[in-house]
Amino acid sequence: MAFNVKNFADQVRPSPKRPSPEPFDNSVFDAGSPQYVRPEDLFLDIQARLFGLKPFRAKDLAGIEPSNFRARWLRDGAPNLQLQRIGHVNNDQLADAVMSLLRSPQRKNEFHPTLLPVVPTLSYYKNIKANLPNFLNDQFRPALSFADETEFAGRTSSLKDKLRNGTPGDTLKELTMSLLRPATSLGYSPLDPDPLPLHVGPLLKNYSVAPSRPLPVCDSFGEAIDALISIESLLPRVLWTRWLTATLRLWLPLFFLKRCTVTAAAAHAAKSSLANSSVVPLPALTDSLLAGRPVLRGSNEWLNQLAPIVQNYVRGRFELSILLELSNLYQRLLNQGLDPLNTAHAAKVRQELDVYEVDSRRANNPSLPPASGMFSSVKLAMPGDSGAGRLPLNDWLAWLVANQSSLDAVARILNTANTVDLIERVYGYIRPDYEPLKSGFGKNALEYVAFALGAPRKVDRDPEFPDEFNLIYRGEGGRRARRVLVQPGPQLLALLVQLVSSQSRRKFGTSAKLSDLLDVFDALGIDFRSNPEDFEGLKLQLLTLGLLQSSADAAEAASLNPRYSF
Amino acid sequence: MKRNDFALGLLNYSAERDDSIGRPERWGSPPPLLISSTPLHDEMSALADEVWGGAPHLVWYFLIGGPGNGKSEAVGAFVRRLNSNAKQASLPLVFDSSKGHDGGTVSYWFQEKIPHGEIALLQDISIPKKIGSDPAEDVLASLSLCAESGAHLVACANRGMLLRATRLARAMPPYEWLLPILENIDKQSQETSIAANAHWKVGHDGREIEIRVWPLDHESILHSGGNGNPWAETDGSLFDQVIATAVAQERWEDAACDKCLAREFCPMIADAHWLRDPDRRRSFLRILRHAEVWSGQRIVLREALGLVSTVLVGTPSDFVENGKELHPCDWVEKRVSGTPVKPKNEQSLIELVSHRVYQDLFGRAAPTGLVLDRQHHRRDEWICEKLQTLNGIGKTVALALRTVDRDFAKQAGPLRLLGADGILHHFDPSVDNAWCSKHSLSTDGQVLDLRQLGAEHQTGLERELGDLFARLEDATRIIPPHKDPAKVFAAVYRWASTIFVRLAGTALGETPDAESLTDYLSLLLQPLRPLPATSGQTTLRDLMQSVAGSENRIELVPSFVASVGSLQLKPAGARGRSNDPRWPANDRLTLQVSTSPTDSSSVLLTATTFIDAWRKHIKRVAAWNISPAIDKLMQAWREDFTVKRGQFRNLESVEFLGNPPLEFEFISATEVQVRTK
Repeated sequence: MAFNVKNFADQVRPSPKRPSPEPFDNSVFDAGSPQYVRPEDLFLDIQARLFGLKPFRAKDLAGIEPSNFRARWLRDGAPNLQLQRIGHVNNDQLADAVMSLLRSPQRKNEFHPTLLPVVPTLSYYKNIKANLPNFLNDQFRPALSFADETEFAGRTSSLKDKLRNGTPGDTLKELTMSLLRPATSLGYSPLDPDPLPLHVGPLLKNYSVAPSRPLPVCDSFGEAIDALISIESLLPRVLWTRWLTATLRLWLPLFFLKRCTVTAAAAHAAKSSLANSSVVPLPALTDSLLAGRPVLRGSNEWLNQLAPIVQNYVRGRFELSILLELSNLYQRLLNQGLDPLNTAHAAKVRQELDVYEVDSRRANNPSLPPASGMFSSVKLAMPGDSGAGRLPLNDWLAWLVANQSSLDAVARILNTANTVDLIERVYGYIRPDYEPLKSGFGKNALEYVAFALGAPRKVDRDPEFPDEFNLIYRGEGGRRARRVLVQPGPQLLALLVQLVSSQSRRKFGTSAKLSDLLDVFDALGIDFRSNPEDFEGLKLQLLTLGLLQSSADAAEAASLNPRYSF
Repeated sequence: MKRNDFALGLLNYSAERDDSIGRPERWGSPPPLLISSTPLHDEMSALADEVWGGAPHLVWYFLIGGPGNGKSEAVGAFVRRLNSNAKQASLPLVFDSSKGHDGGTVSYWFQEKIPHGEIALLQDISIPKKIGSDPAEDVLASLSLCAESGAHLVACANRGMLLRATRLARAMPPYEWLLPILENIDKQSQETSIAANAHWKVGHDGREIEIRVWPLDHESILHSGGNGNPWAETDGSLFDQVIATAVAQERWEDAACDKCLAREFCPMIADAHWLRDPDRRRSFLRILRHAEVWSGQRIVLREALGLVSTVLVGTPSDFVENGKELHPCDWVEKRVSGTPVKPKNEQSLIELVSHRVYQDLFGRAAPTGLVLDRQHHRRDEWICEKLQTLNGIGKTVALALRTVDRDFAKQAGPLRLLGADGILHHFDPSVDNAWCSKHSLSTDGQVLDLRQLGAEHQTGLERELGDLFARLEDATRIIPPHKDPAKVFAAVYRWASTIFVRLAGTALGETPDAESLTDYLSLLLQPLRPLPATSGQTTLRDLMQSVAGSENRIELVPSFVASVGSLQLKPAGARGRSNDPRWPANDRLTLQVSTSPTDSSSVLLTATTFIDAWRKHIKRVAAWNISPAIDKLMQAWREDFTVKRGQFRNLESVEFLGNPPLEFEFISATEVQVRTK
């Protein structure tokens, strides 16, 4: 046996020891591996991490299961209660009221706890699992950081202030705080006042222009957060938190999908460069990565729209990893003074590569070598991003083209025709496990976007977040579940119209028009403009909901009627 | 046979042609269907007189609305009056359509001298002044230029471009002075604005400019402007005038049709007769008004002209045979023969019927009266299959049905109204025949009975079609039992009833939801009037109170409720037409909600919300018939009010509805009392 294509494929598969090559891990092309959690959990998790609240385990609570809210409240909450009791009101009676605030009565208590996320300290009661994806750091923080690094600190600080203090006088918040003040025995301490640090790592931006330009989806996310901050004092707390949750539920999965398309485009650019033995100029390369193409198409038809995006991401991610590993292998050979093109070195090269052979009889097969040379301590970055610790994509592609003959020689040692053939054949081994999206991070990613944008099954439906907040609608199961309608639900439309109107009023001092709403959809990567039927469908929906003032043919110039005129 | 060229001319109003697009070339001689007697045209004539006679200050008039609303036609009315004044004063005409500046096929800018100053026309702010220029920047530059030269101005603007210009003015200091003007134009052209605020004065460079705004998309073209209920009645409305002009005797019988041998079976003259009858025209317009209000989107003038053209004649695509467009009269002639003249065969008969008014309104996507296309899953294919079992006549008819359905131009005409998913689709009288009992019409029975539906409105075509149905029925009577005659009878009756119910409904103006929409329209005038309900009478206020639920408590979250005080509802009708200053009406029914005389808030009540509220609370339809989204929408007004008034803040007490019920009372910001109830 010797190190071959199949071994290479085994080594490239993600493992706990080595999820992906170092230059790729946490780079701009690593969109993360989010998995679905219910919208309220997404929000509570972000909120809890934002304030440094830690999830509990049974051992932290002296044996009480974290999901047993009643026991927790009776032991830790009730003694701390600051209420004047008139007549005989005991803690058990109060517990029923508290449980109603903690849970939806329509769900089985232990499996489907819900919580009013009106005050951050309530997260103490929430059983946020420790192994949940880190939505704050993997999704929320990058999205806002990519939007605008300079405003990031101020924006997140304002949001934290609104979450922590809000505007005084909201009765429900006061009542909830009176009933659910956490006990000091839980280690309650003042919420973390430190500013949220900027996302660490390269930023996903357009560096072919100066100053660098953010992705539209990040830009609009920042604006949506600003709009929500500005209207917090005008809304009931419970409605505001629901809107904030719905905003996160919409923007973050679409941000993820956009990142998927960028990664897929980067992989395509890498293969094209090798196939053509040339790298396209920087602006064209950036354009191909960030092309303003929509991610989804608003449609009344059932179309297979979501899965291909995630499948392309899975493929792109592996292809970039394969190329990076190959580059690093070649770099390692160079470090050893070995030239794969030199026939005199052939035996030594083979010997060097055979170290990485995967032998099932061996207990510990060595992983592929750590990054070295130009790949050491750098992260793959956007074309033109020449910051410290960055490896701009265009530089790497230029290196690949410059060293193509040597890389091809390594590929031939692995019994493939050339580098491109190696990518295809290695991915051929990996593909059956990952591309059907039935297991691994691909499955999680698809579920994350599909469920977050539109919970498909009855058991996933949430009374606090009914279907009216969905962006997509899916079939109930099987093959049909892959096909989706992209039509925003009525509550989501009302929210978007409200946000757009608020932004228009704040930025321009004017009322908003349908074109403003369509611009937001464009930024989100949802196309309602190309197909007249989709556009008319959206318009009809807005008219039915009374959210649009229009005469026929007014098209995008029709005025929006926001639900609430503050 | 003699051809009627007016019918051919009507095709020019269809979407594919451009007679319904206003252009400066039309200032002198507008096409026949464009009506000049509307309040806006009166306003434009008065403006022309005002500037001609010497206005004390500059007047800038902004006509606001989307494409097809009639802005360019209003400019045409202004120009015609101004030129007429010049002619009377023996002066050269003020405006000549060939002397415009910039723009493309339509000139962008006209500026001419009048006895007292200058007058400028900005024909369409959406088109770029020059190739590649930004229309928003062009508008700002044009307004500045107009101010510098001290000219009066009439400008046509759509809201989107106005908004872009406003945003640009904010970013460009030289145009900052235009910002308050543009912002106020946007504000005063909203549906909530009032006539008194439609005119205002601004000063610039020592000149006083009066800004005037006319929103063209507030008032329906079906608004009668009469003394009854102008929102419900259509007599004398702009649309009514267009139809009256289009069906005038001199355009049909006097022009050619009187001597035409095919007139007995011509769908075009039959449709002109149909719409010439005042009752049937009223019914026709009533259906359109209902569809318009239900959809929440006004029908614009361009659509109306396209619809009249389609209903009376058809669309250009209907008359294309072998790649050549025929004259509509030739098309009819090819389908009749004999002495006396009759449809040539079954296919010709079905084709001629497919152009009748009721088929044009509700059957463009199913021209035979049967839904046979793939898009609609061939819903009525079984009827063709059953007719085929009759052999002879049955096979011929089935083939004719399929051929007509296959060859018909279904994607032509004003699709928003007539298309497969158009708004009139919902109003097809044959979809829900509940209205028939009101007129003592029975839709059950044999062909002989069905032919009686709308008998007084039938022409030779329908009688001929009735004979065809009778022949099919006779043929069914003699088929052997193993061919399932009951199913074949059902097929024949289903087809016949669709056609005759649709005909009768169109003639009577009866459609699904007609009663509720009539009530809604009556509320636009009299929002407090009692409405007939199943058990006595009710009012809009009572209806919406029942939608809100009993008591004055609001659910904060499940099981937690709070009192928000006694919610007072006061419905407010639509804004009427104003005569001084002239200003259009709107279609807006609102609810004023308050807890005290000083604490009120208005929320919009759309026709669809009203209909659903009526179905749920008066008709008491099953809960599963009301979608959760609609249910929420019905209560949205209550949520609107509570949110607008911040009713979740500083409430004195909150109740817990669980077991045992508790009451929480707020003593101070940090002190809460709890007691059992």
